[in-house]
Formats: sequence, C-alpha cells, structure tokens
Amino acid sequence: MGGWNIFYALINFAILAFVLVKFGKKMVVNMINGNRQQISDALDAAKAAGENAQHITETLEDIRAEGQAQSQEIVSQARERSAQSLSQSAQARQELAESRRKQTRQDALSMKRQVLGQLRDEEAADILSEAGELLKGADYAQARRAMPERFLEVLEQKLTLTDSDRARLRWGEGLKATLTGAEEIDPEIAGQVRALVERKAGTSVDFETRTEESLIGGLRLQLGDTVYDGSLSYMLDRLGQELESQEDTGEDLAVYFQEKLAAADKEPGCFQTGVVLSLADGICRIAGLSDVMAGEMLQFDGGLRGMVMDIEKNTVSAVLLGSYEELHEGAQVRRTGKVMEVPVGEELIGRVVDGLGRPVDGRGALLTTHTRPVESPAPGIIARKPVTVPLQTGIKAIDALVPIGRGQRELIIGDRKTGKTSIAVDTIINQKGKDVICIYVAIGQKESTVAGIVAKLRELGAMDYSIVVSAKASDPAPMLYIAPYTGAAMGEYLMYQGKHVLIVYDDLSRHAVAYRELSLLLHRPPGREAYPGDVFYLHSRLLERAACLNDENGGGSMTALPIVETQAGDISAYIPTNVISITDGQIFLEEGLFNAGVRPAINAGLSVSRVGGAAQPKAMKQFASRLRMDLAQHRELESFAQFGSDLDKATRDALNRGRKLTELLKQKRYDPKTVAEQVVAIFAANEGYMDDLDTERVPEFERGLTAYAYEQASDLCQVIEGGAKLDKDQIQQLRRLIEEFKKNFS
Amino acid sequence: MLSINISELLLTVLSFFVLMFLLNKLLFKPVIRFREERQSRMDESFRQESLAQEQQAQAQEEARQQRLAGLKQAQDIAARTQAQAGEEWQTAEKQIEQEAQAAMAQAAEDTESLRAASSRSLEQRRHELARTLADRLSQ
Repeated sequence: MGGWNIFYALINFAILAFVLVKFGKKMVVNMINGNRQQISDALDAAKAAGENAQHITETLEDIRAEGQAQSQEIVSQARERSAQSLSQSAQARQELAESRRKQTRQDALSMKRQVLGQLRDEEAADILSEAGELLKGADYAQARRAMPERFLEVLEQKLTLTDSDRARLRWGEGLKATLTGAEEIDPEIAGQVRALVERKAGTSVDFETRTEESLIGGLRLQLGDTVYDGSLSYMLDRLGQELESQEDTGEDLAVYFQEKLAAADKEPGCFQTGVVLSLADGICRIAGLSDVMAGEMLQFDGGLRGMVMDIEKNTVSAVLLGSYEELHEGAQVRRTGKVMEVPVGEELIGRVVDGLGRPVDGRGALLTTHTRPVESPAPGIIARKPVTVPLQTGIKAIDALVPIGRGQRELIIGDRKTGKTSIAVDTIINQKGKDVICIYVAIGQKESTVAGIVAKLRELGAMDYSIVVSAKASDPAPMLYIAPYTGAAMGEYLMYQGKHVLIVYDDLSRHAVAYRELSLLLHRPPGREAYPGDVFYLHSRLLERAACLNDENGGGSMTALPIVETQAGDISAYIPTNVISITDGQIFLEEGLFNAGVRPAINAGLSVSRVGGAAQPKAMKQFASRLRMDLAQHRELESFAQFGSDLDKATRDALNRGRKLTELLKQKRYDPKTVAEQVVAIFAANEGYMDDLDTERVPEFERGLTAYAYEQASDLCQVIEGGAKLDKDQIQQLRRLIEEFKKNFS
Repeated sequence: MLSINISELLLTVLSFFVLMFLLNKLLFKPVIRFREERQSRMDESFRQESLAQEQQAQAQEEARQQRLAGLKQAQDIAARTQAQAGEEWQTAEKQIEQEAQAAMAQAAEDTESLRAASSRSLEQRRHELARTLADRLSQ
C-alpha cells in the first residue's frame, strides 16, 4: 500500500510539474526577466545617479567659481565703462570750455567793435562837422573857388543820359537841369555846364542855377532824376556813411581816422534821387528814381532803408524796412544801385538776427565779411543731384514713415497747437555733431516764443550750429515778408560753400498773410482768399532754393522744413495746397491725435515723403515698410472694430499690434533717437516681441531694449548707423538679443 | 477508497512547517536581506543625487546671488560715476561760466579803458584830423 502511495504521489508530482512547466513556464520566465530588467534598470539608474551626484559635487566649485568670475567680470566691465564715461565726460567738459571760450572771445570782440564803433560814429560826426566849419572859413576860400573847374572836368567824363532821360526826350517832355552852388555861380562856368549838358542831350534843356549855402563848396548838377554831386557837403556826408558802414575799426581809432580821412574820396558822386510823395501803412510812394530796379534797396534820409516793390509810370512804390516815424512828404530818397543784401557766413552761427540780418541778441556787432542778395535764383537742374543722404530728425515716426533726405523740402502742416514747431526744433537738436548748420526763421512769432526756442536751443547746445532769423509779430509786414528770403540767402551761401544746411520756415502761412497785407496796400488786385495772384511764386521761388548740389558745385545741400498752419484741419485751403504742391512731401499733424496723447501727432495716412525713401538708411528701409502696412491695417480695422464686439483672432492680433506700434511711435520732446535705437525698436515690434506686453509698458521695454542693444551689440548698432542693410545672420543676432532681453524683462 | 489518514496529515503538516522553517532560514531571509541592501544602496544613490542636485541649485543660487551682487555693484559704480560726472559737469559748468564772466568783465574793462584812451587821444587830435580832412577834400 505504502509503495503505491509513493508511486501515485510521484505520478501526481510529475503531472503537476508537467502542467506547471507547460502552462506557467512562459509566464514565470517573463515575470523573472521583467523583474530582472527592472532591477537592472533601477541599478543602472542608481549607478547613473551616483555618478551624476559625484559629477555635480565635482562641478559645484566650478559653478561657484563661474558665478564669482561673472560677477567680477560684470564689476570690472562696469569699472571700465565708468572710467570710459568719466574720460568722455572730461573730454566733453573740455569741449564745452573750449566752445565757451571761443564764444567769449567772439563776444568780447563784438563788444569791442560795438563800443569802438559807437565812439567812432560820435567822433566822426564831430570831426566832419569841424571839417565842414573849417572848409567854410577863409583859409579854404581859394580852394573852394577852384572846385567848379574841377567839377566841370569830371562832368565832361561822367555825364551821360540815362534811359529815363532819353525816354523823356523821346516823349517830348524835355529835360530839366539844375546847377546848384554854395555861392553865386560864375556865369562862365554855368554856361559851360549848360553847353555840356545840351551837347550830351542833343537838344536844349530847361537850365537853371541856384545857390544853397549848405553845400559849403563845389557844385551840384541835377539832370532829370540823376544828380552829379561835387559839393563838399556831399563828400562829407558820403564819408560819414562810409565810416558808419564799416564794422572793424582796429585798436587805435586815431590811426584809423588818420588813414580814412587822408584817403577820403573827393570825386564827385553820381546817383539818382526821388522825393517821397505819400506815406501810408509802411508803403511809400516816390516820385523820381526813374531808372530804379525792381527789388532795389533805397536809402532814405536818416538811414532808413526801403525796398522797391512796384514801378509804375510816374511813381515807385517801396516798402519801408524799419520805423518810419520821422519820414515826411518831400523827403529825399536815394538809389543804392544794389538789390537787397544781407550779411552771410559762418560768423552768423550762434547769433539771433532780424529780418535784415541785423543782430538782435545783444551780443554786439556781427563779424561777417560777406553779403548776399536776399533774392537769388534757385540752382538749376545741372547743378543738382538726387537726394540720397538721410537727414535724421531723431523722431521715430518721421524717420520710419516719412523719411527726409538732405536737400529735400518737407512741409510740416497742421492746426495751431499740434506740435509743428516742436518737430522742427527736435530736428534741429538732433543735428548735433552731424555737420549740419541749422537756420530757424521765425516769421511773425511772438517774441516770447522765439526767446523760449533760443533758450532751449542754447541749453541743449544746439545754438553752436544754429542761426535764428526772427521777424517778430510786431514788425511791419515788409520785415515778415523779407525774413524767409534772408534766411534762405544765409543758408544758400553756406550751401555753395559745400556745407549742409537745414532751414526751418516757421511759418509760411503768416508769411503769406504779410505778403497779402503788402499787396493790398500796394493796390494789387486781390484773388482767392484776397491773396495776390503771385502768392504761389512767393513760396515756390523761396522753396526752390533748397537743393542738393552735385560735387562740381561743392556738394552742399539745403534742406527746407516749411511750416504751414491750417484752420480746422483744412489742408485744401489756398496756401496749404500751394505749399503742398511745391514741397517733396508733407508731415500732417492732427489735432485729434494730439489730444488723444499721440505725440508727435503725425497722421501716418496723410503724411508722405516723395523723395526721402531713397535717402532712408537701408536697415530702416528693411523694416519700415512692414510698419507702415501694419499701421495702415490697424487704422482700417480700428474704425471697423468699433461696431462689432466678436472679432476673430487675426483681427484682434492686428488691432493689438497696431496699438503697440502706435505706442512705440509716441515720443517725448527733446528726446531724439539714433537710427540704431529706432531700428531695434521697430524690428522688435514688427517681429511681435511687444505683442504680449501691456501697452503702457511698451516705452519701458523700448528704452531697456535699446540700452541693452547698445551695451551688448554695439557692433550691430554701428552697422545700422553706418547705413548698411542687415544680412540674415545679423537679423538672427538681433532676434537673439531681443529674446535675451525679454527673458530678463519683468 | 479515499480516507483521511490523520497521522500522515500531521506528518505532512509537520514536514511542511519544517520545510518552511528551513527555507525561511536558508533562503528567504538572505534573499530579502540582499534585496533590501540593494534597495538601500540604490536609495542612497538617489538620495545622494538629489542632495547633489540641491547643492547644485544652491551653488547656482549662490552664483546668481553673486552675479546679482556684481550687477548691483556695477549699478552702484554706474550711479556713482553718473553722480560724479554730473557733479564734475556742474562744477565745470560753473567754473567755465565764471571764467567766461570774468573774461567778459575783463574785456569790458579793457574795452572801456581803450575807449577812454581813444577818446582822450581823439580829443587832442580832433582838430588835426579835421584839418587833414579839409586839406584832402580841398586839394
């Protein structure tokens, strides 16, 4: 029994083993393998962890050392920058001291000239009157008697008939000759003069003789309107004027007088005269002056000057450039034979002058040596070259959307109080160190406004390269009329010297109003808005003088920024449309935008620059077109989005981008940006790096980013400022830079 | 015929327990001990790793702090430089202005004395100059 049991048990075991092996082996093997794998993985992980731990322990010191090294590097860089900025600051101080010293020297020289000039004028008057008295005396009686004969000799050579005299003879009006002497004229001399005149005229003339004691000695012949003056009083008077007109007297006045008096001109003079017929509202009608030129300068008694505006059959109308309280009917007017001229030259830089180029800043006489006619023809086609060099305004919205080139005329137009002057002044400030001379012409501005602008320019160091021409609101209309031409003449002179000039006319609507006033007083027929017919020519001949000269002509340029004020945003009024059509584009400022806080309030849709695109720095051009499109899209969508609330994502994104861009283009006054700063900021906005920022934080982001860019990638900034286009690598570098900055921007 | 043999059952149970005891003593315990040891070794490695990572984070934090300290120091230096430059600038401006004013005052004084001297000398020579002019014009 026991034996069988064991046998059965064995059989059972064998069956069980077989079944287990048959059905469970695979499972068990898998389980064991899986377990083994798990264990081995865990072991590996543990081993790796151990190794990692060891590695980390080893590198801990490195991390600490690296931190230390970086910290030290940051500090040492800061030290280096600090030393650099201190040395730059020292250099700037030195430059400031030098420029102030130079200015002081000039001021001292001007003061000396002014003081000595005053003394010279006083002394000259005394000496001349004493000399007059002497000449009247018995000592010189013989000399006085000899003078008529000498006069006759000169007359023989000089006497000619002018065009007007011939015309009179042709019309049968006859010529009148008057011979005046200080004493009774010798009949023989009078006869000889008469014979001479009649011989030259080829006919008999109405001849009379007069005696005028004030002549002191010598003779004076008036033939028609022409005077041949050989009298002593004339010579003294002429010498007096000559002395007065000279700026430099030298150190020793006695020597100066000795030289000038010993070489005094004693030749009889020849000039044309006229007589004041009537005088009203700064317009003077004059009889005589038969051969006067249009635009010629006239000299009135007492030093007052005038400019010929209209030449009629019997009268000449002239505008008076100065106060005319002492002028009276019958006063003498003399031709100067010159069209109106103003002092020009680099000596004017830093000065404030009036519409005639006379200093009004209380810093003494001008040190200029050259003059130039206020009216002169604009350079022709051959002398010009296309506008290719940018004139950076430092204002993002302008440099990106309506770029200005050197030699361009870009109109700044907008209602009152929309920031027109600010744009012009900011542009002047941004020209510091860019080798551009700026001229600011204030036409009809309040004196306080001009004083404010001059003070601001001086404070920011911009007067070191600027000239201010100021025709203030209280000046008579002729001064306002002439001021822009004066500025243009000053700019033109420098342009022909090969310099780059920026001229701001602030503003031309007041200039047009002054011209309208003049024209109406001159009885010229009024046209649209009562402006005279030639109001277009008034501005076209002024603005055409801005040019970019080719290299044969010195390669200088004159960029004009005329300003025009509109009424209630109406750019289709007469003067705005005229000036828009003359200029190469306009910057339109909108009151609505200004009040909404968008400053500068530039309307990107209506503002254009017709030639500036060619002058835009390449890197800016690369990114600005996208900016323009995004802004345009934003404008369209904004008006549309006001109606609906449910907008798709694309529209929402475009609106968001537009808001960021609008915020980005806002800029404070007196805060010009460099090209690199502008390009980096615009690139960041274009690439959407600003999309997720709060709109209020855009300026902060921009400031930080541009500072970071200058710090970390100054080479790239230099490339942008050099005017080169950015290649793929550089764009990639810029992207990385912005990403890096954004990571730390919180 | 199946029947339960009590003695055999007891024997089997006993042998089972004996087997269990032996197995426990000789096999299970060493195996469990081995596994536990292995697990603890692994845990130790992981613990060490996490410790090292903590240390690394700490070191990195320290490095960051150092960098921040460096930056702060740099900012301090920049601020000091700016302040110094500003101060120097103001002093220099004041000095330059004073110099300029002094120079202008000196120039004014010189001009005035020049004017006085010229005026005196002209006073004496006026008659002579007038005579020169009269002679010149009457020649």
